[in-house]
Amino acid sequence: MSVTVQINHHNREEIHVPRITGTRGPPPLLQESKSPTLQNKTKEAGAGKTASSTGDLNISVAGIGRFKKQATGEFVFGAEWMNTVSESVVLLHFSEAERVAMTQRKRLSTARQQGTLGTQEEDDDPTFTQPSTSQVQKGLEKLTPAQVDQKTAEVVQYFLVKDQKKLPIRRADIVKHVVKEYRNIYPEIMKRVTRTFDQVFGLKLVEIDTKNHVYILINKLETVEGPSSITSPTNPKMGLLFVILSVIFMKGGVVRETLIWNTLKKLRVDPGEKHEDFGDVKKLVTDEFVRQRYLEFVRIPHTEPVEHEFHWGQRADVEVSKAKILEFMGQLHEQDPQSWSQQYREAHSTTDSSQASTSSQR
Amino acid sequence: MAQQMGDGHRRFLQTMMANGVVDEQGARSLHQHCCETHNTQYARDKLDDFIAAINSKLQPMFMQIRKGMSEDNGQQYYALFYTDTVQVNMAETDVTRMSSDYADNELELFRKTMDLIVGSESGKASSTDILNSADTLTTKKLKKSETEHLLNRLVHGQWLSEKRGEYTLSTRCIIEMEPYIRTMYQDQVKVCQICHNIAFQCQICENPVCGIKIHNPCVARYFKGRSEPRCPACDDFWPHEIPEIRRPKSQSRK
Repeated sequence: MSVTVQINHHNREEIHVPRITGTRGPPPLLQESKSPTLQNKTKEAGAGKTASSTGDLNISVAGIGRFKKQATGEFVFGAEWMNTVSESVVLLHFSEAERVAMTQRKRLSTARQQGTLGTQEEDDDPTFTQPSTSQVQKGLEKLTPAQVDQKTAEVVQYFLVKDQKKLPIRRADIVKHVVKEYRNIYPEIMKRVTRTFDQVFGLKLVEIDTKNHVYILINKLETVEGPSSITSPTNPKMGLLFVILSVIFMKGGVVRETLIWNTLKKLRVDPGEKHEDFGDVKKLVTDEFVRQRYLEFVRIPHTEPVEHEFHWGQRADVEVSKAKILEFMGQLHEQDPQSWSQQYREAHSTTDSSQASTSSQR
Repeated sequence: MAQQMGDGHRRFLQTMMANGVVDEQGARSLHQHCCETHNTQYARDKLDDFIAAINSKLQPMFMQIRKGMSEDNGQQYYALFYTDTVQVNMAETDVTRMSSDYADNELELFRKTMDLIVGSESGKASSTDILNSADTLTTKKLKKSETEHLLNRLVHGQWLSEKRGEYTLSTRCIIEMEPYIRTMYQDQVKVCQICHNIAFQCQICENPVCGIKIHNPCVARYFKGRSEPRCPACDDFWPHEIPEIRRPKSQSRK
């Protein structure tokens, strides 16, 4: 059986969890935790494949390695470069009390998130105030349609260039570098830009921070595996990110950094060492992923030595499907995703309208 | 017959943007994949119409999907292409495609490399010459190791191609930057007599009053089967070796 899980964004990076064959024979060290094994939900996210439920379960996560469950029920984790087992999958089980506590902490920190962003964020340009509708109208009257079109095109290109790195785009930068003297019709330009991205590119322009006016582009089209390498270039960094997001989500939305480091270490991705694919792992996780808004890395007050906790970032909130993560967990543990009731509710909550829409599950 | 833009077109466009340049075979299979994914009517010979539909929507954004020929193998490639409004700004502002990935001095080195390539007869720049020009940068200087690393990144980023220590402009770079190159190097840049596109790796007529240029693959096609090749402009004997036409590799990816 195999599962394809996706992070929807227009660079089309996806995490494949295809079936692999072949076994490694390392001695099992840990027991799988004692959750009841329910009937396998063989919900296939790949195109039209039917899953066959057999004894052995093989799942690989790009860039990390593979999880193989043996007939004895024990989990074996093997990577290309290692030969031992990992208890990381066991970490994903926890008590109900722990879950509740974690969720409560998350609620508090979510409230805090809306106000201030990370400390690395510069303030929104204080000299730019959003012009009123009448000001925009007046401004448009003074310009030719061609001028407005040109300016719209420049903003579209600016977004496309900046978004290549998946770094969020700040309104202040757009105004300063591109819109410039057309700032009095900024709302009209942004309206046209949004429409262009929607109609021409199939991308959605989302303001992920309404206080500091920061945007990202997300993909409206579902990532679909294509016939060749053109349509689905894979990126191991996304595999790593996916594992981290999964742990955070299963743990209620907030985890201390040590848990992530330990999880990664068990997957032989050591934050202290230079990794073959990822390089400086710590920098990738705490800097690059944070700047791209996939993760938040927040200092825990009153800790000495300083400790941080990880949350999902705003880009992850809109681009990553929690339902898909849960489905992956379900496959990994051969459990019904609904057995994690808290997570299931959160993943399928209808108020979560900012989630990227994934059309029909294939 | 202009098609309406649908999700199939958008998926095609997104994939083009993600890949930089796509060969003809790849474009055809992508066309099929996109149509099938979104239940759009598909006909194998309608790729040009399909792309035209996308291009009509891209035009207000000063973007086009354009076909160009590889100077190496003569095959057709599709790339996304920006008009010169944006390209000429390369020297100044922050808005171009390359600028998000490269620092100012790196872009300067790239422009110097382009100078060398355009100015050369072979359409190539040796790594030695490029390293020497790294010493003449007006922005922050680049060390030898940094220059080598940068050249690797430029190759990886599909801006340059490298063979045996010599660098040429990649097919994608030529397609994307044609307007820029024509503007910046208008007197210097070579143009192919046969296909009328800009040319770097080409053969030149040895007649001193003629001197027309023809791309290597265009030579192969134009002179195929002729026992006595003659310059199409001045009728002098064409003295260069006529290359073989290279057949595209069969790609069965299904």
